[in-house]
Amino acid sequence: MENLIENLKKQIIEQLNLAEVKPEDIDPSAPLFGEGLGLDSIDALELIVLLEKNYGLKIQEPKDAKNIFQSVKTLAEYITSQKK
Amino acid sequence: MVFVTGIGIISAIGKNVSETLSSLLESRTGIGKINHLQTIHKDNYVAGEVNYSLQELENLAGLKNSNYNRTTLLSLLATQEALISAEIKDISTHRTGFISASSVGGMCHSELLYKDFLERKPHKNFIDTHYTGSHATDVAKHFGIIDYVTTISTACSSAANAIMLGARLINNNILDRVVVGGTDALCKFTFNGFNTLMILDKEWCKPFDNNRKGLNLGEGAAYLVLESERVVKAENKKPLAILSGYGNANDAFHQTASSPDGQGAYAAIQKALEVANLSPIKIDYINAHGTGTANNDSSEAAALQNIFKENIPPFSSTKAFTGHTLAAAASIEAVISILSIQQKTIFPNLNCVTHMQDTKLFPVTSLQKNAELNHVLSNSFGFGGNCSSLIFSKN
Amino acid sequence: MSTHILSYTKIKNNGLWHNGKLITQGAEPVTYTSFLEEAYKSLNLSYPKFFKMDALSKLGVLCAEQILADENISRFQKEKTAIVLSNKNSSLQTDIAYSKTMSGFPSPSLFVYTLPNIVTGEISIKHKITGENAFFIEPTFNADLLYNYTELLLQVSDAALCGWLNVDEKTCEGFLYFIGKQTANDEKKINFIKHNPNNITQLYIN
Repeated sequence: MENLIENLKKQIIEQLNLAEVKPEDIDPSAPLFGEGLGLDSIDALELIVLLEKNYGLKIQEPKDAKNIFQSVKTLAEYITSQKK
Repeated sequence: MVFVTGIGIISAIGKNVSETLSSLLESRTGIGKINHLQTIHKDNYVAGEVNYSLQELENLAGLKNSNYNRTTLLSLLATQEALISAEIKDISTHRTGFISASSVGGMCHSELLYKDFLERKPHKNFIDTHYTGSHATDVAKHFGIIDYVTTISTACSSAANAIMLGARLINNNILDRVVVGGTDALCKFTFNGFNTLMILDKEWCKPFDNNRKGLNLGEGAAYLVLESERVVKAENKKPLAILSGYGNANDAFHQTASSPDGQGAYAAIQKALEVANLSPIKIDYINAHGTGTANNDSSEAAALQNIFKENIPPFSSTKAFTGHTLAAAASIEAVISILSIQQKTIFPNLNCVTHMQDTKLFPVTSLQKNAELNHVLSNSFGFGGNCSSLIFSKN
Repeated sequence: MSTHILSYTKIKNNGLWHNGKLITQGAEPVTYTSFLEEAYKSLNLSYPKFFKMDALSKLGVLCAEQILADENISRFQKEKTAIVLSNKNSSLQTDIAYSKTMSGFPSPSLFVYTLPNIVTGEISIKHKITGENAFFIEPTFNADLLYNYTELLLQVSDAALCGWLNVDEKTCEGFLYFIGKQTANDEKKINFIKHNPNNITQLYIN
């Protein structure tokens, strides 16, 4: 799980062009949207692309993504749960 | 004062004004299966496609081997009808301009040919027509319009901005007459793009419905001929309508989403009312932007609520007829607004059944005849926060 | 009341100038994309959204920054400030970048920038400018068009940020200038450049 979280941080930084952010700056439990990294609706769409591109997981409705994208941790938990 | 003396239109609901009016009066949508555009999304989505192939459009225009792309042909056909409708026999009699809008430009052609281009000899017409301004140059040249030609590209409000600029040029005695509007053809690039933003509805769109899922793309072109009071008097014309108000403002919120309280929309409508010297209560009908996305319809409803307060005029989105025609939308809907004034009829907001939860607003959902429409407001809000509103008044 | 050019910036050949003075220059040979990011850092902008933008928006935001921070323009209300921009290539470079993603995983964040006027949106968002805006597509820089259009606009606006932002495969070119209605009092104090097509062109080519 920790490996996945570390990989996710790097992938998120790359996919979302967060040029001034380093992986160690991201708290896995901190909110991704609103406060925390302050991501917006377009970033959410890019995360949906990331999930499909890197993990083969497809999200059909953007509103389903709200809980999954709460934090890096919830994202990692979702990916792990889908692998079973 | 700026008068509308001619109109021309081509879209999924008809190749000219007469067919468009029939479709509107019969509540007949143009949204359906995609027949001409070769996209991977063909079988999964619906769109407001103009029901003619490229060759058929050329035939309609009376041309042969023109090398005009789809965007240009749509523009040419609508411009042709507008000029005939305005009874212009000699375009050089007065200082005349052509201001056209497009977002697609020649992309509809380039995306089909660029692979060939990379491998074989260059295809001259394909290179030349990719540039967004080439359709305006080609169409202006075709009709001999030389005094002022430019292209505006501000996403979904483009054609409204073209109309606004035309009005200002006439009001400031820089031009006597100007053909204004916009054109956009369906293309794979746009389809793919809107799909990645997840704002397309796979089924028929439901503007202002609580269960709306997104927009349907459309294509088409429409133009207005605007003329000064002096020209109208000199040529004894009977104008179709008056362009009495216009306004533009930036929402300054997000690149593609509208602010929750519709600030930009509010400001644009406010400015249009000021130019028209009208209080909100004077508006008899609103042709809304109403794309069918969760975001736009809520945002626009909030803006309407803030401007009109308790007295919201009847409103409808006609995008469930034509689809969202992007840079052509504002001019297509301007023509529809003018038809509603002429016909004393409010065209319905098709496919809207359930009230939006967050507002009391509900559009007109069936054809309303015998409506005395003196002033009609038409809204068009584009990506980049570019919000425009136009007001047409009965002559 | 007359209109004057109160402030202007240029980005050309990996250099950024404000009112004719060089602000920062990229070390050769650096791509323009690198230069734009270097310029951002040297201006200490602190605006993370910058890195999500495409080259056209980065170009516009950088050119606008110095102008909008200029004390000579701070008195103009943002609701009455227009933005009038133009270029030849529309959003071509980003169109190309986006189209490359179409065969695999189309990128929503790239698609957002496949319209030329998104840059007016980005400038408006950053500086909360809510006046009118327009974007013209012209084959070359057209001072007459910009001058005539803004003269009309100034009947209802007080000021406008205008210019040309064009991005090519290997180069980018930015020229923005701010025009505002001057009072007779202001004219006596400082020598501003009078707003006319000839002066606009001179600033553009020099």
